[in-house]
Amino acid sequence: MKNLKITAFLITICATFLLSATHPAQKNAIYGKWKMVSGKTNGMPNQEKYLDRTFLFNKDNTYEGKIFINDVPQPYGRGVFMVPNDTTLVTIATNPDESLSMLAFKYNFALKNDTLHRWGYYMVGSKDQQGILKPMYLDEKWVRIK
Amino acid sequence: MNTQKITTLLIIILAALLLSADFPAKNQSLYGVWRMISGKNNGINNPPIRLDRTWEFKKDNTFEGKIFLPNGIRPYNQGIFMLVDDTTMVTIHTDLNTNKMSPFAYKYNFHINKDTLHFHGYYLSPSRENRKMLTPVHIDEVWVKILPE
Repeated sequence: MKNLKITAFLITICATFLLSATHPAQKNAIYGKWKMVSGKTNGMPNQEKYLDRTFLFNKDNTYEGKIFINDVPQPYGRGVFMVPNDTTLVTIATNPDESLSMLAFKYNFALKNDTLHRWGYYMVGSKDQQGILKPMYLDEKWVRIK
Repeated sequence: MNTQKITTLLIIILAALLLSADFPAKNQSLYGVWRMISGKNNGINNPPIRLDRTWEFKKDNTFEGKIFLPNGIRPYNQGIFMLVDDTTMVTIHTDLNTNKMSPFAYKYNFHINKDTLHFHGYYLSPSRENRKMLTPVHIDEVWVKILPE
């Protein structure tokens, strides 16, 4: 009888724990590997050769981009990312010396089925003035791949 | 006997659930209200009128800055923050009037030693020469905790 009560109590706790656990949110759905479908920079479509790219969001909050040149994968950016809510993605690139870049980039994203839409600004150094940054607006679509 | 087995199994499941749960993140000591002690922009000391500020980091990952001016307390900034690790913070400001999130994020380094917070890194300011361009401004600030969360 006593054991039955303990069992019932434990079942209640386990059920409560499981039911109250956060269900995988939209932001968790970003984990995985994505292949670029389309991309624009400052409103201009990316050149074909810059379309063959993948982006991997790892569960340890690191990301890794690759570009395929003649079917050979080349690194195309890596770093850490954060997803503060279901529509905001922040990335910080890793420098060659493994330190983090001094800049963070904030993007918006939307996930629909296996399609990721990402848009927002990243910065590049101005060609004309040293120490000045030019915001570049990107708008990209990616599909999830295995 | 059967009940005993179920009980044991449930205890194991419960222990596993508890142990696998996410532990509260990184630098808990950041939470609370901080008062500015010193601040520099691009190596130049902030004028005294811009020193009387507080900064609150809340557990819901929002922050709120206030400035104490001769004519009263004013909101200084607000937004959300994220801790990348124990020494790296990212902030995204929200507009004080519209609450709209800025299109930019800023990355800072921070170090907490007892009740002192050292905060440094770059934010972006519109360039004087071309308003479409941005200039990184280096800030270096020291804050002391005045209220825990």
